[in-house]
Amino acid sequence: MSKPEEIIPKLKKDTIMSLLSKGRRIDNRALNEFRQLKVEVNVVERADGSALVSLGNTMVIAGVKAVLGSPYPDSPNEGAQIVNAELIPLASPVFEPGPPGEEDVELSRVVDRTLRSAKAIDLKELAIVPGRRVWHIYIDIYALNHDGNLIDASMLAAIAAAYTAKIPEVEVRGNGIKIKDEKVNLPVKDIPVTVTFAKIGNEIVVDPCYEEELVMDSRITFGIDSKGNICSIQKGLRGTFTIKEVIEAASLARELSEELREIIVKLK
Amino acid sequence: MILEDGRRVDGRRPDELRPTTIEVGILKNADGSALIRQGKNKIIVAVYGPRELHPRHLALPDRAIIRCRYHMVPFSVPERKSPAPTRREIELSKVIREALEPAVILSSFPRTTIDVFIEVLQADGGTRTASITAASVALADAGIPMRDLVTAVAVGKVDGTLVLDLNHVEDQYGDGDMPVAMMPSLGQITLLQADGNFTLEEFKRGLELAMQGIRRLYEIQKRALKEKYSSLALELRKGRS
Amino acid sequence: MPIFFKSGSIVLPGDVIAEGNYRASEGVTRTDNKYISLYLGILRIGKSGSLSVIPFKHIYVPEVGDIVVGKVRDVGVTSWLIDINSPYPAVLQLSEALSKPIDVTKVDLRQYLDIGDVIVAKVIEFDYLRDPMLTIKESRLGRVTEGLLLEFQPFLVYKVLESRLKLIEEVKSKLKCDIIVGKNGRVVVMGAKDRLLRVVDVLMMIFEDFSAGSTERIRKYISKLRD
Repeated sequence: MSKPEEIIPKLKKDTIMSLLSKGRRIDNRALNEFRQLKVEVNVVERADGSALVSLGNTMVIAGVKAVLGSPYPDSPNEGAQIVNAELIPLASPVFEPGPPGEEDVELSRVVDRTLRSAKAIDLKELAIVPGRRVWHIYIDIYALNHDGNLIDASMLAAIAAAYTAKIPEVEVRGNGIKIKDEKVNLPVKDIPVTVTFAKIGNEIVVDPCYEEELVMDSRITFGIDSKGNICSIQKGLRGTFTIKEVIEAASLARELSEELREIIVKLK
Repeated sequence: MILEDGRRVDGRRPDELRPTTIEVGILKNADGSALIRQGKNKIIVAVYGPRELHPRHLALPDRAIIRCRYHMVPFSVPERKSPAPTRREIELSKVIREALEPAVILSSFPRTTIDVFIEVLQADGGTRTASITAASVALADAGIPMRDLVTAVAVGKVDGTLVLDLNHVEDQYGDGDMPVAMMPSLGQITLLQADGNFTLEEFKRGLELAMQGIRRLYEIQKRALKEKYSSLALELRKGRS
Repeated sequence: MPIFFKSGSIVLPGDVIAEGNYRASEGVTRTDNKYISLYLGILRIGKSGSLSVIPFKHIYVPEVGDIVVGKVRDVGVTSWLIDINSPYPAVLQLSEALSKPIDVTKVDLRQYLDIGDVIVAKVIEFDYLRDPMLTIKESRLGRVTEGLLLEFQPFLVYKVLESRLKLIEEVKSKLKCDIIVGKNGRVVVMGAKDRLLRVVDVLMMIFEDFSAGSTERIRKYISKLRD
């Protein structure tokens, strides 16, 4: 049976807001509390790296694949990092089939930016023959069950998959490259995580569940690196934040990011 | 050589299935769901429906329609695959749908759609048959009335020998691949395809071999579905007063 | 004339339940002289030889006369679209909601029912060709202004343990509340706020506890209830 839902003369948003004013959320969490987090790595053994993240009931899977390719012209001595996230209809009745929409793209780019700014994947170490052959690291992220906060769940899946990924060792011989059977760790030098907040009325809560996302006015995500620096920010939706709110959120994000990072570090 | 000492590359005998497990109901939003592991294959299926169909003009007045999307995630295969649907995925979506349709009592829900979403997380040959096997479990989990479950397996020919449940290597380097899907209780075939070449005799024996595999997989499907509800059923039997 | 399963067993789509001369009831189909299950569910063998299967997951299809608990999903100019927990969303026409005609060019329907509102309604029309139609004009129907809304799997209780539904009447009088059980798997409970949670506890027992001796336990528990 579902949890009893209170019937009120007005919309659900008012219920959520009146609970929030008393410091409670509909799933009994504190305002700055994350849902239970579970991370499993190597779930797709044939991928170079993979992770399945459960954040409350939200489930996301990420896979890492290293592919040999040419470097981009503006960075001849570096490998490449490509992040692709998809909100597939399997995960929710509200996702429609079809090519990636603006939400899929925003999610991909926020995860990509966070990894890049934190210099998580050391692209310089991924140049095999400078100017000619480099590793392209593909991180593909798929939502499997949507119960809110796909951003943080996707970020955790991506960094967990990358952190535990192993790519083939490569030997440069004369004019050619030999891909050996041995594997080496994907060079990951930082573990950035994101912390997302939802603003509902005047209250700000962390890690919104699906019901909270339905009534939120705006959303803000902070990417925090291992040193506690902010490496990415993304505000979303139509509402607004005051300066005070944003600074408090950033500060709280730095605190909360430590617990999330601990879980990732323990994976190796 | 694929076949040595009568054993295949992965050590199986010609009539041996890969180890197979099915988990039911792992996705909370979907009305029905199943995860199948068959050898290295890992495939997740979600069923949504019957539900309203948009745009409405696609709906049929006297029955439900089934929409099926078979998709492989980019990291499911050794060489990363582009996320965009390939022609193979489009064809497989169609044949999988047609393999499931005969089993579903579509007339129970006119003007609705039953959506089947298949994501291959890891592929090692025989993904279309494993998808069908998992999808029919997900449909039953969703409470959709069916004439029978649908069970599927691929039979192939390797070094002149017929083998059951092809893996990827055997499919690529063998002499034939024949996926078969059936409604086992009714004895009706709902999917049959082939490539390579088979004599008539090989074809007949291949079908027999497929049916053996299907019978075993049918038991695995049934066990998985019953397990989900066995404690509830036990309580109901004891509590009947 | 064999029956291959015991009453109360789990059966699956395609399972041959029996062969011979029986009566195929809900969830069972007959081909030749074989009786086959259509669902993943519980087999019930009735006294008169009727065979039925109760699915574990029930998909609600409305029938004329059903009392349902709906949620307003959308507001139009002359009607509301209502989610009745079914593959078929229902329509509540203005004429079936208000007894007096109003001028739709001057009045917004949201004043009467807005998105998210909960209503108890009756199905007055459904023939699969068009959306089911509802009315809230009869007594005991209408918008629910205060209370609790619960969702559960209805079929198990309706079909397996009908005796339990009678217990709900007792709960109503003992705890001085109103409980409306919709055919579509939703229940509304209305009454004094301090009692509501106790009502929810009892309902959870009625709808979810099937352990050995549970019906007796529940009967005793309810008989001891005091306001």
